[in-house]
Amino acid sequence: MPSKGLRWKSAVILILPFPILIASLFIGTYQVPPLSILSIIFSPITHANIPEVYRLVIVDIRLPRIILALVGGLALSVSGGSLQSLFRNPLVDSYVLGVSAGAGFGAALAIAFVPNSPWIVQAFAFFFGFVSFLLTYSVARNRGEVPVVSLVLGGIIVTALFTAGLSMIKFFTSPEQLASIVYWLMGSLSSATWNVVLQVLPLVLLGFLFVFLMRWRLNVLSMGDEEAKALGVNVERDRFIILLVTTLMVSALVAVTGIIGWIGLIVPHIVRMFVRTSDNRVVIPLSAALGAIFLLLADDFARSLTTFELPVGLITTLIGAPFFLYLLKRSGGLGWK
Amino acid sequence: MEIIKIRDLNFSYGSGSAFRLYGVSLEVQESEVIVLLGPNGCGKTTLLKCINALLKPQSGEVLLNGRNALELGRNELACMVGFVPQAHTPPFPFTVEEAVLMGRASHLSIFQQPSETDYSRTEEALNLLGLTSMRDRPYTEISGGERQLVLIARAIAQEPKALLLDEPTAHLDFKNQVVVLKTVNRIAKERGLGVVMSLHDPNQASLFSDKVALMSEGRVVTIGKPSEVVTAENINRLYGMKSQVLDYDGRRLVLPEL
Repeated sequence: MPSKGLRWKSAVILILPFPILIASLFIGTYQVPPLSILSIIFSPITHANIPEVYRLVIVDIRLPRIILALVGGLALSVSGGSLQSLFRNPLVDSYVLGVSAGAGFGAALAIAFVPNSPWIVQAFAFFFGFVSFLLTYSVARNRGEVPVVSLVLGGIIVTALFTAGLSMIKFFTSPEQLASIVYWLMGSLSSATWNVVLQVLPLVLLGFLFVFLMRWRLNVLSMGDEEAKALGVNVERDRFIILLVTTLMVSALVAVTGIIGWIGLIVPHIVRMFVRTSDNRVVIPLSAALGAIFLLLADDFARSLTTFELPVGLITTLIGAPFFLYLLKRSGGLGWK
Repeated sequence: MEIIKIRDLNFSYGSGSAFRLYGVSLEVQESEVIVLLGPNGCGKTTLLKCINALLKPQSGEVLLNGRNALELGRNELACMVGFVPQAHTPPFPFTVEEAVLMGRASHLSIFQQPSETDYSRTEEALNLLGLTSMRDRPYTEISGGERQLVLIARAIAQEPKALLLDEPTAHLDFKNQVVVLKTVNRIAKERGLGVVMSLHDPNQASLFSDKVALMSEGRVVTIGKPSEVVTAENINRLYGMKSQVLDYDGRRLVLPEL
Protein backbone atom coordinates (compact mmCIF):
# COMPACT_ATOMS: atom_id res chain seq x y z
CA MET A 1 0.00 0.00 0.00
CA PRO A 2 1.46 3.37 -0.97
CA SER A 3 2.78 5.58 1.83
CA LYS A 4 1.95 9.26 2.26
CA GLY A 5 5.29 10.43 0.87
CA LEU A 6 4.88 8.28 -2.20
CA ARG A 7 1.41 9.68 -2.91
CA TRP A 8 2.70 13.22 -2.64
CA LYS A 9 5.63 12.56 -5.01
CA SER A 10 3.36 10.75 -7.47
CA ALA A 11 0.86 13.58 -7.50
CA VAL A 12 3.60 16.10 -8.35
CA ILE A 13 4.96 14.04 -11.25
CA LEU A 14 1.50 13.32 -12.63
CA ILE A 15 0.44 16.99 -12.59
CA LEU A 16 3.74 18.47 -13.84
CA PRO A 17 3.19 17.82 -17.59
CA PHE A 18 0.31 20.33 -17.65
CA PRO A 19 2.16 23.48 -16.52
CA ILE A 20 5.11 22.49 -18.72
CA LEU A 21 2.74 22.12 -21.68
CA ILE A 22 1.44 25.66 -21.10
CA ALA A 23 4.96 27.05 -20.62
CA SER A 24 6.15 25.36 -23.83
CA LEU A 25 3.54 27.29 -25.84
CA PHE A 26 5.62 30.43 -25.10
CA ILE A 27 8.79 28.96 -26.63
CA GLY A 28 9.68 29.33 -30.29
CA THR A 29 11.58 31.35 -32.89
CA TYR A 30 8.53 33.23 -34.19
CA GLN A 31 7.78 36.14 -31.86
CA VAL A 32 4.26 35.92 -30.46
CA PRO A 33 3.49 38.39 -27.64
CA PRO A 34 2.91 36.49 -24.36
CA LEU A 35 -0.38 38.30 -23.83
CA SER A 36 -1.67 37.02 -27.18
CA ILE A 37 -0.66 33.49 -26.19
CA LEU A 38 -2.57 33.86 -22.93
CA SER A 39 -5.64 35.13 -24.73
CA ILE A 40 -5.42 32.20 -27.18
CA ILE A 41 -5.29 29.78 -24.22
CA PHE A 42 -8.39 31.38 -22.73
CA SER A 43 -10.12 32.06 -26.05
CA PRO A 44 -12.48 29.05 -25.81
CA ILE A 45 -14.04 30.90 -22.85
CA THR A 46 -13.46 34.56 -23.78
CA HIS A 47 -13.80 34.33 -27.59
CA ALA A 48 -11.19 37.08 -27.81
CA ASN A 49 -10.11 38.40 -31.17
CA ILE A 50 -6.55 37.32 -31.99
CA PRO A 51 -4.49 37.86 -35.17
CA GLU A 52 -4.77 34.78 -37.39
CA VAL A 53 -0.95 34.38 -37.67
CA TYR A 54 -0.61 34.07 -33.90
CA ARG A 55 -3.40 31.54 -33.74
CA LEU A 56 -1.77 29.54 -36.54
CA VAL A 57 1.64 29.50 -34.83
CA ILE A 58 0.28 28.54 -31.43
CA VAL A 59 -2.60 26.20 -32.28
CA ASP A 60 -1.44 24.57 -35.52
CA ILE A 61 2.35 24.57 -35.15
CA ARG A 62 3.39 24.67 -31.50
CA LEU A 63 0.50 22.76 -29.89
CA PRO A 64 0.62 19.62 -32.11
CA ARG A 65 4.38 19.51 -31.65
CA ILE A 66 4.01 19.77 -27.88
CA ILE A 67 1.37 17.03 -27.89
CA LEU A 68 3.60 14.81 -30.05
CA ALA A 69 6.47 15.35 -27.60
CA LEU A 70 4.26 14.38 -24.64
CA VAL A 71 2.84 11.33 -26.42
CA GLY A 72 6.27 10.28 -27.70
CA GLY A 73 7.98 10.62 -24.33
CA LEU A 74 5.18 8.55 -22.80
CA ALA A 75 5.50 5.85 -25.46
CA LEU A 76 9.28 5.55 -25.15
CA SER A 77 9.46 5.47 -21.37
CA VAL A 78 6.44 3.20 -20.83
CA SER A 79 7.78 0.69 -23.33
CA GLY A 80 11.27 0.96 -21.83
CA GLY A 81 9.98 0.45 -18.30
CA SER A 82 7.85 -2.56 -19.16
CA LEU A 83 10.56 -4.20 -21.27
CA GLN A 84 13.08 -3.75 -18.44
CA SER A 85 10.72 -5.74 -16.20
CA LEU A 86 10.12 -8.34 -18.88
CA PHE A 87 13.82 -8.77 -19.65
CA ARG A 88 14.92 -8.34 -16.02
CA ASN A 89 17.63 -6.10 -17.35
CA PRO A 90 18.37 -2.40 -16.87
CA LEU A 91 19.96 -1.90 -20.29
CA VAL A 92 16.87 -2.64 -22.27
CA ASP A 93 14.40 -0.56 -24.25
CA SER A 94 12.31 -1.31 -27.30
CA TYR A 95 15.31 -0.68 -29.55
CA VAL A 96 16.90 -3.90 -28.26
CA LEU A 97 14.31 -5.87 -30.20
CA GLY A 98 15.61 -4.37 -33.42
CA VAL A 99 12.83 -1.78 -33.78
CA SER A 100 15.12 1.21 -34.35
CA ALA A 101 17.35 -0.60 -36.85
CA GLY A 102 14.30 -1.87 -38.76
CA ALA A 103 12.64 1.54 -38.77
CA GLY A 104 15.88 3.22 -39.85
CA PHE A 105 16.26 0.76 -42.71
CA GLY A 106 12.63 1.27 -43.79
CA ALA A 107 12.92 5.04 -43.72
CA ALA A 108 16.20 4.99 -45.67
CA LEU A 109 14.69 2.65 -48.25
CA ALA A 110 11.79 5.05 -48.80
CA ILE A 111 13.99 8.17 -48.84
CA ALA A 112 16.34 6.58 -51.40
CA PHE A 113 13.79 5.01 -53.73
CA VAL A 114 10.51 6.91 -53.29
CA PRO A 115 11.62 10.56 -53.28
CA ASN A 116 9.55 13.43 -51.86
CA SER A 117 6.94 11.38 -50.07
CA PRO A 118 7.00 11.83 -46.29
CA TRP A 119 3.95 9.59 -45.97
CA ILE A 120 5.73 6.64 -47.60
CA VAL A 121 8.78 7.20 -45.37
CA GLN A 122 6.56 6.95 -42.30
CA ALA A 123 4.77 3.86 -43.58
CA PHE A 124 8.04 2.10 -44.44
CA ALA A 125 9.62 3.02 -41.09
CA PHE A 126 6.59 1.73 -39.19
CA PHE A 127 6.39 -1.45 -41.26
CA PHE A 128 10.07 -2.38 -40.99
CA GLY A 129 10.23 -1.40 -37.30
CA PHE A 130 7.41 -3.80 -36.59
CA VAL A 131 8.71 -6.49 -38.94
CA SER A 132 12.08 -6.48 -37.21
CA PHE A 133 10.34 -7.15 -33.89
CA LEU A 134 8.40 -10.06 -35.46
CA LEU A 135 11.67 -11.39 -36.90
CA THR A 136 13.39 -11.14 -33.53
CA TYR A 137 10.48 -12.90 -31.88
CA SER A 138 10.39 -15.75 -34.38
CA VAL A 139 14.18 -16.17 -34.31
CA ALA A 140 13.94 -16.48 -30.52
CA ARG A 141 10.99 -18.88 -30.58
CA ASN A 142 11.89 -22.50 -30.09
CA ARG A 143 9.41 -25.32 -29.37
CA GLY A 144 6.71 -22.91 -28.27
CA GLU A 145 8.99 -21.13 -25.81
CA VAL A 146 10.60 -17.72 -26.16
CA PRO A 147 13.35 -17.35 -23.56
CA VAL A 148 14.55 -13.84 -22.74
CA VAL A 149 18.16 -14.66 -23.63
CA SER A 150 17.09 -15.77 -27.10
CA LEU A 151 15.11 -12.56 -27.54
CA VAL A 152 18.17 -10.44 -26.76
CA LEU A 153 20.34 -12.50 -29.11
CA GLY A 154 17.64 -12.42 -31.79
CA GLY A 155 17.48 -8.63 -31.40
CA ILE A 156 21.23 -8.33 -31.88
CA ILE A 157 21.11 -10.45 -35.05
CA VAL A 158 18.15 -8.60 -36.56
CA THR A 159 19.72 -5.22 -35.67
CA ALA A 160 22.96 -6.25 -37.35
CA LEU A 161 21.13 -7.31 -40.51
CA PHE A 162 19.09 -4.12 -40.84
CA THR A 163 22.08 -1.95 -39.97
CA ALA A 164 24.02 -3.60 -42.78
CA GLY A 165 21.08 -3.00 -45.11
CA LEU A 166 20.98 0.63 -44.02
CA SER A 167 24.70 1.05 -44.68
CA MET A 168 24.21 -0.46 -48.12
CA ILE A 169 21.52 2.10 -48.96
CA LYS A 170 23.65 4.95 -47.58
CA PHE A 171 26.55 3.76 -49.70
CA PHE A 172 24.63 3.72 -52.97
CA THR A 173 22.36 6.71 -52.52
CA SER A 174 22.95 10.31 -53.67
CA PRO A 175 24.50 12.88 -51.28
CA GLU A 176 21.20 14.81 -50.86
CA GLN A 177 19.30 11.66 -49.99
CA LEU A 178 22.13 10.57 -47.71
CA ALA A 179 21.73 13.86 -45.85
CA SER A 180 17.98 13.26 -45.38
CA ILE A 181 18.65 9.74 -44.14
CA VAL A 182 21.21 10.95 -41.62
CA TYR A 183 18.88 13.71 -40.44
CA TRP A 184 16.01 11.26 -40.11
CA LEU A 185 18.17 8.89 -38.04
CA MET A 186 19.01 11.68 -35.59
CA GLY A 187 15.38 12.02 -34.57
CA SER A 188 13.27 15.17 -34.67
CA LEU A 189 9.73 16.27 -33.88
CA SER A 190 9.69 18.82 -36.71
CA SER A 191 7.20 16.76 -38.73
CA ALA A 192 4.51 17.36 -36.13
CA THR A 193 1.08 18.42 -37.43
CA TRP A 194 -2.35 17.57 -36.13
CA ASN A 195 -2.54 14.79 -38.76
CA VAL A 196 0.69 13.27 -37.51
CA VAL A 197 -0.52 13.48 -33.91
CA LEU A 198 -3.76 11.75 -34.80
CA GLN A 199 -1.81 9.06 -36.59
CA VAL A 200 0.44 8.29 -33.60
CA LEU A 201 -1.96 8.88 -30.74
CA PRO A 202 -4.35 5.88 -31.12
CA LEU A 203 -1.57 3.26 -31.18
CA VAL A 204 0.27 4.86 -28.28
CA LEU A 205 -2.86 5.17 -26.15
CA LEU A 206 -3.92 1.61 -26.96
CA GLY A 207 -0.48 0.30 -26.03
CA PHE A 208 -0.42 2.37 -22.86
CA LEU A 209 -3.85 1.05 -21.90
CA PHE A 210 -2.65 -2.57 -22.15
CA VAL A 211 0.57 -1.91 -20.23
CA PHE A 212 -1.31 0.08 -17.61
CA LEU A 213 -3.82 -2.73 -17.08
CA MET A 214 -1.00 -5.27 -16.88
CA ARG A 215 1.18 -3.15 -14.57
CA TRP A 216 0.95 -5.54 -11.61
CA ARG A 217 1.40 -8.57 -13.80
CA LEU A 218 4.69 -7.01 -14.98
CA ASN A 219 5.92 -7.42 -11.39
CA VAL A 220 5.24 -11.15 -11.57
CA LEU A 221 6.78 -11.45 -15.04
CA SER A 222 9.95 -9.76 -13.74
CA MET A 223 10.57 -12.76 -11.47
CA GLY A 224 11.65 -14.79 -14.49
CA ASP A 225 10.06 -17.35 -16.79
CA GLU A 226 10.00 -20.37 -14.53
CA GLU A 227 8.88 -18.59 -11.38
CA ALA A 228 6.16 -16.66 -13.15
CA LYS A 229 4.88 -19.91 -14.63
CA ALA A 230 4.90 -21.59 -11.22
CA LEU A 231 2.94 -18.59 -9.91
CA GLY A 232 0.23 -19.34 -12.44
CA VAL A 233 1.03 -16.87 -15.20
CA ASN A 234 0.70 -17.78 -18.86
CA VAL A 235 4.14 -16.33 -19.50
CA GLU A 236 4.31 -16.77 -23.28
CA ARG A 237 0.93 -15.13 -23.86
CA ASP A 238 1.40 -12.25 -21.44
CA ARG A 239 4.91 -11.52 -22.65
CA PHE A 240 3.79 -11.53 -26.26
CA ILE A 241 1.05 -9.00 -25.49
CA ILE A 242 3.54 -6.63 -23.81
CA LEU A 243 6.09 -7.04 -26.61
CA LEU A 244 3.44 -6.50 -29.26
CA VAL A 245 1.85 -3.37 -27.82
CA THR A 246 5.13 -1.71 -26.82
CA THR A 247 6.59 -2.35 -30.28
CA LEU A 248 3.47 -0.91 -31.91
CA MET A 249 3.71 2.21 -29.73
CA VAL A 250 7.35 2.80 -30.48
CA SER A 251 7.13 1.93 -34.19
CA ALA A 252 4.25 4.39 -34.59
CA LEU A 253 6.32 7.11 -32.94
CA VAL A 254 9.66 6.35 -34.59
CA ALA A 255 7.95 6.33 -37.99
CA VAL A 256 7.22 10.06 -37.68
CA THR A 257 10.11 11.26 -35.52
CA GLY A 258 13.07 9.06 -36.40
CA ILE A 259 15.17 7.56 -33.67
CA ILE A 260 15.01 9.26 -30.30
CA GLY A 261 17.22 7.39 -27.90
CA TRP A 262 17.82 7.07 -24.15
CA ILE A 263 14.42 8.17 -22.87
CA GLY A 264 13.21 4.58 -22.52
CA LEU A 265 16.38 3.71 -20.66
CA ILE A 266 16.75 6.50 -18.14
CA VAL A 267 13.21 7.64 -17.29
CA PRO A 268 12.06 4.41 -15.58
CA HIS A 269 15.33 4.39 -13.60
CA ILE A 270 14.84 7.93 -12.39
CA VAL A 271 11.32 6.99 -11.33
CA ARG A 272 12.48 3.88 -9.44
CA MET A 273 15.14 5.90 -7.63
CA PHE A 274 12.85 8.83 -6.89
CA VAL A 275 9.95 6.83 -5.43
CA ARG A 276 12.17 4.04 -4.06
CA THR A 277 10.01 1.23 -5.31
CA SER A 278 10.12 -1.15 -8.26
CA ASP A 279 6.39 -1.84 -8.08
CA ASN A 280 5.21 -1.30 -11.64
CA ARG A 281 1.81 -0.19 -10.37
CA VAL A 282 3.70 2.99 -9.43
CA VAL A 283 6.59 2.91 -11.91
CA ILE A 284 4.51 2.62 -15.10
CA PRO A 285 2.16 5.59 -14.60
CA LEU A 286 4.97 7.80 -13.27
CA SER A 287 7.29 6.82 -16.15
CA ALA A 288 4.52 7.84 -18.53
CA ALA A 289 4.32 11.31 -16.98
CA LEU A 290 8.06 11.81 -16.52
CA GLY A 291 8.83 10.53 -20.03
CA ALA A 292 6.35 13.02 -21.44
CA ILE A 293 7.98 15.83 -19.45
CA PHE A 294 11.48 14.74 -20.49
CA LEU A 295 10.85 14.72 -24.25
CA LEU A 296 8.87 17.94 -24.11
CA LEU A 297 11.68 19.78 -22.28
CA ALA A 298 14.29 18.28 -24.62
CA ASP A 299 12.28 19.47 -27.61
CA ASP A 300 11.88 22.93 -26.07
CA PHE A 301 15.67 23.08 -25.95
CA ALA A 302 15.94 21.74 -29.50
CA ARG A 303 13.66 24.51 -30.71
CA SER A 304 15.18 27.38 -28.76
CA LEU A 305 18.84 26.69 -28.06
CA THR A 306 20.11 27.97 -31.41
CA THR A 307 18.66 30.01 -34.25
CA PHE A 308 18.20 26.85 -36.30
CA GLU A 309 16.61 23.66 -34.96
CA LEU A 310 18.69 20.87 -33.38
CA PRO A 311 17.58 17.25 -33.78
CA VAL A 312 15.94 16.35 -30.47
CA GLY A 313 17.46 12.85 -30.63
CA LEU A 314 20.88 14.45 -30.19
CA ILE A 315 19.70 16.33 -27.12
CA THR A 316 18.14 13.28 -25.46
CA THR A 317 21.37 11.36 -26.06
CA LEU A 318 23.59 14.22 -24.86
CA ILE A 319 21.53 14.45 -21.65
CA GLY A 320 20.69 10.76 -21.36
CA ALA A 321 24.05 9.09 -21.72
CA PRO A 322 25.94 11.12 -19.08
CA PHE A 323 22.94 11.00 -16.77
CA PHE A 324 22.78 7.22 -17.08
CA LEU A 325 26.47 7.08 -16.23
CA TYR A 326 25.79 9.22 -13.15
CA LEU A 327 22.94 6.92 -12.08
CA LEU A 328 25.16 3.90 -12.58
CA LYS A 329 27.96 5.30 -10.44
CA ARG A 330 25.71 6.71 -7.75
CA SER A 331 23.68 3.58 -7.20
CA GLY A 332 26.56 1.14 -7.60
CA GLY A 333 25.09 -0.77 -10.52
CA LEU A 334 21.47 0.37 -10.24
CA GLY A 335 20.74 -2.34 -7.67
CA TRP A 336 21.22 -4.99 -10.35
CA LYS A 337 23.84 -7.57 -9.58
CA MET B 1 -7.70 -39.22 -2.45
CA GLU B 2 -4.01 -38.56 -3.04
CA ILE B 3 -3.18 -34.93 -3.73
CA ILE B 4 -0.34 -35.93 -6.03
CA LYS B 5 -0.21 -39.26 -7.81
CA ILE B 6 2.65 -39.99 -10.21
CA ARG B 7 2.41 -43.07 -12.40
CA ASP B 8 5.33 -44.58 -14.27
CA LEU B 9 6.89 -41.26 -15.28
CA ASN B 10 9.59 -41.26 -17.94
CA PHE B 11 11.42 -38.11 -18.88
CA SER B 12 14.47 -37.12 -20.87
CA TYR B 13 15.83 -33.69 -21.88
CA GLY B 14 16.97 -35.33 -25.11
CA SER B 15 19.81 -37.62 -26.03
CA GLY B 16 23.11 -36.83 -24.36
CA SER B 17 21.66 -35.19 -21.27
CA ALA B 18 22.36 -36.88 -17.96
CA PHE B 19 19.11 -35.75 -16.36
CA ARG B 20 16.48 -38.42 -16.89
CA LEU B 21 13.65 -40.10 -15.06
CA TYR B 22 12.80 -43.78 -15.45
CA GLY B 23 9.43 -45.19 -14.38
CA VAL B 24 8.97 -42.97 -11.36
CA SER B 25 5.83 -43.59 -9.31
CA LEU B 26 4.94 -41.69 -6.16
CA GLU B 27 1.87 -40.81 -4.09
CA VAL B 28 1.48 -37.87 -1.76
CA GLN B 29 -1.37 -37.64 0.77
CA GLU B 30 -2.80 -34.67 2.62
CA SER B 31 -0.50 -33.33 5.39
CA GLU B 32 2.26 -35.67 4.26
CA VAL B 33 5.87 -34.54 3.85
CA ILE B 34 7.91 -36.57 1.40
CA VAL B 35 11.62 -35.90 1.03
CA LEU B 36 13.52 -36.77 -2.13
CA LEU B 37 17.04 -37.82 -1.20
CA GLY B 38 19.84 -38.72 -3.55
CA PRO B 39 23.17 -37.63 -5.00
CA ASN B 40 23.57 -34.64 -7.34
CA GLY B 41 22.04 -35.28 -10.74
CA CYS B 42 19.78 -38.14 -9.62
CA GLY B 43 16.68 -36.34 -10.92
CA LYS B 44 15.19 -34.66 -7.83
CA THR B 45 14.72 -31.25 -9.43
CA THR B 46 13.61 -32.84 -12.73
CA LEU B 47 10.91 -34.75 -10.86
CA LEU B 48 9.70 -31.60 -9.07
CA LYS B 49 9.50 -29.76 -12.39
CA CYS B 50 7.54 -32.63 -13.96
CA ILE B 51 5.01 -32.51 -11.11
CA ASN B 52 4.54 -28.80 -11.78
CA ALA B 53 4.35 -29.36 -15.57
CA LEU B 54 7.33 -27.08 -16.07
CA LEU B 55 8.73 -30.11 -17.88
CA LYS B 56 6.71 -32.48 -20.03
CA PRO B 57 7.32 -36.18 -19.43
CA GLN B 58 7.64 -38.45 -22.47
CA SER B 59 5.32 -41.02 -20.90
CA GLY B 60 3.46 -41.69 -17.69
CA GLU B 61 1.32 -39.15 -15.91
CA VAL B 62 1.07 -36.77 -13.00
CA LEU B 63 -2.37 -36.55 -11.41
CA LEU B 64 -3.18 -33.59 -9.19
CA ASN B 65 -6.36 -34.27 -7.23
CA GLY B 66 -7.15 -36.82 -9.92
CA ARG B 67 -6.60 -34.45 -12.88
CA ASN B 68 -3.76 -34.78 -15.37
CA ALA B 69 -1.26 -31.97 -14.76
CA LEU B 70 -0.61 -31.49 -18.48
CA GLU B 71 -4.29 -30.79 -19.13
CA LEU B 72 -4.46 -28.00 -16.56
CA GLY B 73 -3.88 -24.35 -17.48
CA ARG B 74 -1.02 -22.51 -15.77
CA ASN B 75 -3.27 -20.78 -13.27
CA GLU B 76 -5.25 -23.94 -12.46
CA LEU B 77 -1.93 -25.67 -11.84
CA ALA B 78 -0.81 -22.86 -9.58
CA CYS B 79 -4.01 -23.20 -7.56
CA MET B 80 -3.09 -26.87 -7.01
CA VAL B 81 0.69 -26.73 -6.54
CA GLY B 82 2.94 -24.07 -5.06
CA PHE B 83 6.57 -24.18 -6.12
CA VAL B 84 9.34 -22.85 -3.86
CA PRO B 85 12.53 -22.38 -5.88
CA GLN B 86 15.98 -22.14 -4.34
CA ALA B 87 16.51 -18.75 -2.74
CA HIS B 88 18.02 -16.36 -5.26
CA THR B 89 18.60 -12.65 -5.63
CA PRO B 90 15.76 -11.19 -7.67
CA PRO B 91 16.42 -8.40 -10.20
CA PHE B 92 14.19 -5.74 -8.64
CA PRO B 93 14.15 -4.70 -4.97
CA PHE B 94 10.50 -5.51 -4.30
CA THR B 95 9.47 -5.36 -0.66
CA VAL B 96 8.77 -8.58 1.25
CA GLU B 97 5.05 -7.81 1.11
CA GLU B 98 5.08 -7.19 -2.65
CA ALA B 99 6.98 -10.45 -3.17
CA VAL B 100 4.47 -12.47 -1.14
CA LEU B 101 1.58 -10.72 -2.87
CA MET B 102 2.81 -12.19 -6.17
CA GLY B 103 1.57 -15.55 -4.90
CA ARG B 104 -1.90 -14.22 -5.72
CA ALA B 105 -1.24 -14.05 -9.47
CA SER B 106 -3.09 -17.31 -10.16
CA HIS B 107 -6.23 -15.88 -8.54
CA LEU B 108 -6.22 -12.74 -10.69
CA SER B 109 -7.00 -12.41 -14.37
CA ILE B 110 -4.49 -10.81 -16.71
CA PHE B 111 -5.75 -7.23 -16.33
CA GLN B 112 -6.72 -7.41 -12.65
CA GLN B 113 -4.93 -5.61 -9.81
CA PRO B 114 -4.68 -7.19 -6.34
CA SER B 115 -7.73 -6.47 -4.17
CA GLU B 116 -8.37 -6.32 -0.42
CA THR B 117 -8.82 -10.12 -0.40
CA ASP B 118 -5.39 -10.60 -1.94
CA TYR B 119 -3.82 -8.30 0.63
CA SER B 120 -5.48 -10.17 3.50
CA ARG B 121 -4.29 -13.57 2.16
CA THR B 122 -0.81 -12.03 1.94
CA GLU B 123 -1.16 -10.81 5.50
CA GLU B 124 -2.11 -14.33 6.65
CA ALA B 125 0.86 -15.86 4.86
CA LEU B 126 3.23 -13.27 6.38
CA ASN B 127 1.79 -14.06 9.81
CA LEU B 128 2.08 -17.80 9.34
CA LEU B 129 5.77 -17.49 8.63
CA GLY B 130 6.46 -14.78 11.19
CA LEU B 131 7.46 -12.21 8.58
CA THR B 132 5.02 -9.43 9.49
CA SER B 133 7.71 -7.21 11.03
CA MET B 134 9.85 -7.18 7.87
CA ARG B 135 7.06 -6.61 5.37
CA ASP B 136 8.44 -3.29 4.12
CA ARG B 137 12.08 -4.37 3.85
CA PRO B 138 13.48 -4.83 0.34
CA TYR B 139 13.46 -8.51 -0.48
CA THR B 140 16.97 -8.09 -1.94
CA GLU B 141 18.41 -6.98 1.40
CA ILE B 142 17.29 -9.73 3.78
CA SER B 143 19.25 -12.87 4.66
CA GLY B 144 19.08 -16.05 2.61
CA GLY B 145 17.08 -17.81 5.32
CA GLU B 146 14.55 -15.01 5.50
CA ARG B 147 14.29 -14.97 1.73
CA GLN B 148 13.53 -18.69 1.72
CA LEU B 149 10.75 -18.03 4.25
CA VAL B 150 9.42 -15.27 1.99
CA LEU B 151 9.31 -17.67 -0.95
CA ILE B 152 7.41 -20.18 1.20
CA ALA B 153 5.02 -17.42 2.29
CA ARG B 154 4.49 -16.55 -1.37
CA ALA B 155 3.60 -20.18 -2.12
CA ILE B 156 1.20 -20.19 0.86
CA ALA B 157 -0.51 -17.00 -0.35
CA GLN B 158 -1.11 -18.93 -3.55
CA GLU B 159 -3.41 -21.26 -1.49
CA PRO B 160 -2.33 -24.51 -3.15
CA LYS B 161 -3.09 -28.08 -2.05
CA ALA B 162 0.52 -29.16 -2.37
CA LEU B 163 3.96 -27.57 -1.99
CA LEU B 164 7.08 -28.46 -3.92
CA LEU B 165 10.40 -27.27 -2.52
CA ASP B 166 13.70 -27.51 -4.35
CA GLU B 167 16.51 -27.82 -1.80
CA PRO B 168 15.03 -25.25 0.56
CA THR B 169 18.05 -25.45 2.88
CA ALA B 170 20.75 -24.85 0.27
CA HIS B 171 23.08 -21.97 1.24
CA LEU B 172 21.43 -21.51 4.64
CA ASP B 173 23.20 -21.54 7.99
CA PHE B 174 22.47 -24.30 10.50
CA LYS B 175 19.78 -22.45 12.43
CA ASN B 176 17.97 -21.25 9.31
CA GLN B 177 17.97 -24.76 7.89
CA VAL B 178 16.18 -26.00 11.00
CA VAL B 179 13.77 -23.04 11.02
CA VAL B 180 12.80 -23.60 7.38
CA LEU B 181 12.32 -27.36 7.73
CA LYS B 182 10.33 -27.06 10.96
CA THR B 183 8.16 -24.41 9.35
CA VAL B 184 7.49 -26.57 6.30
CA ASN B 185 6.40 -29.48 8.52
CA ARG B 186 4.23 -27.23 10.68
CA ILE B 187 2.31 -25.67 7.80
CA ALA B 188 1.91 -29.07 6.11
CA LYS B 189 0.03 -30.25 9.20
CA GLU B 190 -1.81 -26.97 9.85
CA ARG B 191 -2.99 -26.53 6.28
CA GLY B 192 -3.27 -30.18 5.27
CA LEU B 193 -0.75 -29.65 2.47
CA GLY B 194 1.00 -32.46 0.64
CA VAL B 195 4.70 -31.60 0.49
CA VAL B 196 7.46 -32.90 -1.76
CA MET B 197 10.92 -31.46 -1.16
CA SER B 198 14.41 -32.37 -2.21
CA LEU B 199 17.18 -32.35 0.38
CA HIS B 200 20.88 -33.18 0.45
CA ASP B 201 21.32 -34.17 4.08
CA PRO B 202 20.07 -37.67 5.11
CA ASN B 203 19.89 -36.49 8.74
CA GLN B 204 17.51 -33.67 7.83
CA ALA B 205 15.57 -36.02 5.60
CA SER B 206 14.91 -38.44 8.42
CA LEU B 207 14.21 -35.73 11.00
CA PHE B 208 11.80 -33.67 8.93
CA SER B 209 9.73 -36.05 6.84
CA ASP B 210 6.93 -38.59 6.97
CA LYS B 211 8.43 -40.53 4.11
CA VAL B 212 11.78 -40.56 2.36
CA ALA B 213 12.15 -41.45 -1.31
CA LEU B 214 15.69 -42.49 -2.22
CA MET B 215 16.56 -41.55 -5.78
CA SER B 216 19.43 -42.75 -7.90
CA GLU B 217 20.12 -42.21 -11.59
CA GLY B 218 16.58 -41.13 -12.41
CA ARG B 219 14.82 -43.85 -10.44
CA VAL B 220 13.04 -43.94 -7.11
CA VAL B 221 14.89 -46.84 -5.53
CA THR B 222 13.07 -47.10 -2.22
CA ILE B 223 10.33 -45.19 -0.48
CA GLY B 224 9.10 -45.50 3.09
CA LYS B 225 9.24 -44.18 6.64
CA PRO B 226 12.62 -42.67 7.56
CA SER B 227 13.20 -45.39 10.16
CA GLU B 228 12.79 -48.06 7.47
CA VAL B 229 14.56 -46.37 4.61
CA VAL B 230 17.43 -44.43 6.14
CA THR B 231 19.64 -47.43 6.92
CA ALA B 232 23.39 -47.74 6.68
CA GLU B 233 23.06 -50.18 3.81
CA ASN B 234 20.76 -47.90 1.77
CA ILE B 235 22.73 -44.73 2.38
CA ASN B 236 26.06 -46.37 1.58
CA ARG B 237 24.72 -47.81 -1.65
CA LEU B 238 22.99 -44.54 -2.64
CA TYR B 239 26.06 -42.31 -2.22
CA GLY B 240 28.75 -44.94 -2.76
CA MET B 241 30.45 -44.23 0.55
CA LYS B 242 30.83 -45.68 4.02
CA SER B 243 28.78 -44.43 6.92
CA GLN B 244 27.12 -45.64 10.09
CA VAL B 245 23.52 -45.10 11.10
CA LEU B 246 22.93 -44.66 14.82
CA ASP B 247 19.69 -44.79 16.71
CA TYR B 248 19.29 -41.93 19.13
CA ASP B 249 15.97 -41.67 20.96
CA GLY B 250 14.20 -43.17 17.97
CA ARG B 251 15.89 -40.67 15.62
CA ARG B 252 18.21 -41.80 12.87
CA LEU B 253 21.65 -40.27 12.79
CA VAL B 254 23.85 -40.79 9.77
CA LEU B 255 27.54 -40.58 10.60
CA PRO B 256 30.03 -40.70 7.74
CA GLU B 257 33.09 -42.84 8.35
CA LEU B 258 36.21 -40.71 8.63
